[in-house]
Amino acid sequence: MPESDALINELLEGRISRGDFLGRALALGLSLPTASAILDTWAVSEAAAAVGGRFVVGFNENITNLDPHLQSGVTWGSIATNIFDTLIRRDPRTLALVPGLASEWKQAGARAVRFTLRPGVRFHNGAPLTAQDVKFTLLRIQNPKTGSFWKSEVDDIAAVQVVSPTEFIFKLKRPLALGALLDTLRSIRIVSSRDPATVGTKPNGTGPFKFAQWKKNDLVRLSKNAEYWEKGVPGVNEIVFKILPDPQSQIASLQAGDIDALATPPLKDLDRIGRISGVKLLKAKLPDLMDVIQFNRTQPPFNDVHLRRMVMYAFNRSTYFRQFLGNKGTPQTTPFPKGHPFRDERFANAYPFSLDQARSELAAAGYGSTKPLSFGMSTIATGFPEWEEASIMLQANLKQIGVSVEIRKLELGTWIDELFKSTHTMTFDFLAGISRDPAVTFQEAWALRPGKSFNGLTTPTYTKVLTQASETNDQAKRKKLYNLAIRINIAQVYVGILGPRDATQAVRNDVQGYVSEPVLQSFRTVRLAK
Amino acid sequence: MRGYLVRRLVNGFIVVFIVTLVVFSMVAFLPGDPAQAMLGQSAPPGAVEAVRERLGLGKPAYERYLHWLGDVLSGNLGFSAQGGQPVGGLVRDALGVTAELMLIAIAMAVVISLPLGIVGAMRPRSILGRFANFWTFFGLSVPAFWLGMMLVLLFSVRLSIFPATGWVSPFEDPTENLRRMALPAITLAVGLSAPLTRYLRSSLTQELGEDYVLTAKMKGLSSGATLLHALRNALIPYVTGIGIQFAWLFGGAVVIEVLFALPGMGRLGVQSVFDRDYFVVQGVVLVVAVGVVLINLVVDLVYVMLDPRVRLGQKAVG
Repeated sequence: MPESDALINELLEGRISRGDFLGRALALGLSLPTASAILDTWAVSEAAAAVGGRFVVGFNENITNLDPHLQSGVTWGSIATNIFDTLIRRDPRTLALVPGLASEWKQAGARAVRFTLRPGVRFHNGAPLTAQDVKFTLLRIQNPKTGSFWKSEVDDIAAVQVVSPTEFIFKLKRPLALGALLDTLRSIRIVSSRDPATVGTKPNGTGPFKFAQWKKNDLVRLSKNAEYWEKGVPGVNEIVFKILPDPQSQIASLQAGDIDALATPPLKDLDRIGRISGVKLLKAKLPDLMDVIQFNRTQPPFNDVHLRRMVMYAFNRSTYFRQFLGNKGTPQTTPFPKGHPFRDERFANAYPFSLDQARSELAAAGYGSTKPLSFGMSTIATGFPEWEEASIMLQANLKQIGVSVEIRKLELGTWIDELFKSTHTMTFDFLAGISRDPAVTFQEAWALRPGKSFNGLTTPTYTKVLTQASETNDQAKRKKLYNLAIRINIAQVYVGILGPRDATQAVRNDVQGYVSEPVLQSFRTVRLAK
Repeated sequence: MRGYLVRRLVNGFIVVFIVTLVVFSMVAFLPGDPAQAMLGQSAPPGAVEAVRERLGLGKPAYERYLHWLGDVLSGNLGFSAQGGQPVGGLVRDALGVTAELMLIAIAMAVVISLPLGIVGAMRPRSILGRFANFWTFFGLSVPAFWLGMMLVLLFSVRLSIFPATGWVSPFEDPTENLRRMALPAITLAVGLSAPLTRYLRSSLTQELGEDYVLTAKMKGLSSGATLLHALRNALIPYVTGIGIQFAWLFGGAVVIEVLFALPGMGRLGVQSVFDRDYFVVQGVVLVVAVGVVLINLVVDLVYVMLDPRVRLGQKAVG
């Protein structure tokens, strides 16, 4: 991305002064009138947006606990993003990996990376951040007894060697691509090693906000960290994460001004939300969530690849996104969204909707008028109406080729249990991580990872390809290998990729500095206009 | 009377015990557990087992129930399996919200239904009498969710008089608390007042046709005094109706709580079932069961106040 864009971002985020900006802008070749105009625009925004105030943001999903390493979920993930820092960050505007708590790093051999911590950083309780805290954090996540969601992401880190209070070395089990390691570290929230017993119950991070209060089923309140290491942030005194489970209540709250932003607006209503006076929609540069079909390949009928292909041909992805997601997504069969450097258009549109092709696959599996196929599929009863609608559409399409499908609507806990126990047949789901380094995507997006998942096994070839791709820094080679993995997935349909859904937030016009992120929202640059 | 009260309390204790046992059994045998609910379907292998072990979910269901019962008898409702907060605190906070909503909604319902019921019985063909009739149909027919949304659109979005969602403690900001309770309470009150209006109208109509009322009128008693006599007798089914609604609201009006984002008992109970947070479910059920038993007892005592002829616990004569 152009250096001038990066410079403008630094100015907007308050990381450089006006004088610095002017000097560097001229050095980059920007003309004086242009640079001055940018400064004037920034000055107007700056004056209009006060530092301070309470920012209230609505989320649709409840949180269940305060452990930074235990659960995923958009609401808690966003809260934790504002309480805790990570070693590496990603600039949401440029998608470049930038220093977080780690101010610099360098490769120290094929299987080691040396990091230097930013000096002068303190936890919210006043304790200084040291390399020992990083080691403690990694060990905690890697400890099977913790049950951390991110354990598999850091499994490649064999050991953490503390060199000094501000330096440490990650020793790796295998020669991991540097980009893969750095992107992994974006998920690892650094906690203090001094109070191990309270890590899961009293959030104590180094982030721009401190944990203040949790009212179950209601809200979480964070207060400003006045000693935050990054200059000029945060821009508000308090954030309130308001839990609003009902989509219409979310919209009404935004309209009435009860909340300043809606981080998880209902996709189908986005157009209507965008027309609300005083509200703007912000779209992330890349989406992170991808809709998929999870097949249980460990048992009939979907242990047969022909039947998995049959479903892919019989499912109309375009209609799904257009009708059921309000055109807020892109039908495709590659996990890499548009704009991703590894995207290959050759694999974006496999399985065009075709009942004839679906019928052929059905016949290849040995089914037809003399041997009809019927199966059940499950969907979640509440909260995901698009999946129920998609199930009905698929049922109708398959009926046309003589396949009968029974749709079972399950309560969420029951649905999760089915997946864990591999008693499901097929179901809709979404996978996260498609905006990340592919090594993370194929690791975190659990059903795409090599080896074994609740869906069944992948082939040794698939595993080998993904292993090679994650161990080289040659980006061209990585792109080739990951797209080979995608081609294998398309052929074998380990998981049926439908396409990414847009990441969009709705924000009131008097909120400034809100940068849309694909999933987990950081509010450190948010300011409220007077 | 004392004997009656003791018997009712003992029966109440048995009812509460059976309710908690049945609910625990039903939730314990639902597929899934708190560890799965916490980590979700994308959790890596081993993570769920680790959390499950840490939460002590490996023990048999009956052992967990007995352990919980023992804690309850010593005054401890246990801890949330997921967040670790004391269940007593969670239930107390949610109960505060529900109790306030309940009281305000019932008070509004009484204020609406009492005059409408009286007018509906005394002057059924008057404008107000016809309105009372319309009100019973309207209140019973209109879906609470729709009504709530309409009120939000009008009073929050269009007129900006009341907030659309959320709750603030009355100890934190009493004015803001009342502003936020207004729309949910009105939404509930409309539905609650309809059957109450009907109960009162029909029972008062019946009383007004009784001989003693005719006698009173013939003896020259004023309309107001006559009404008071009849009303006192007519209030018994009305009070029963209020008691039933109190009991129903005690469990939390989940739909209203979700719509207005109120962190009450209904949401706590339902969310805890989704989360498989067994101890929180038990805590909610226990408190609701005890509340319903006590409310029914209070209703019975109010009968005695209204009609001294009622003798609680005695066999019917004749």
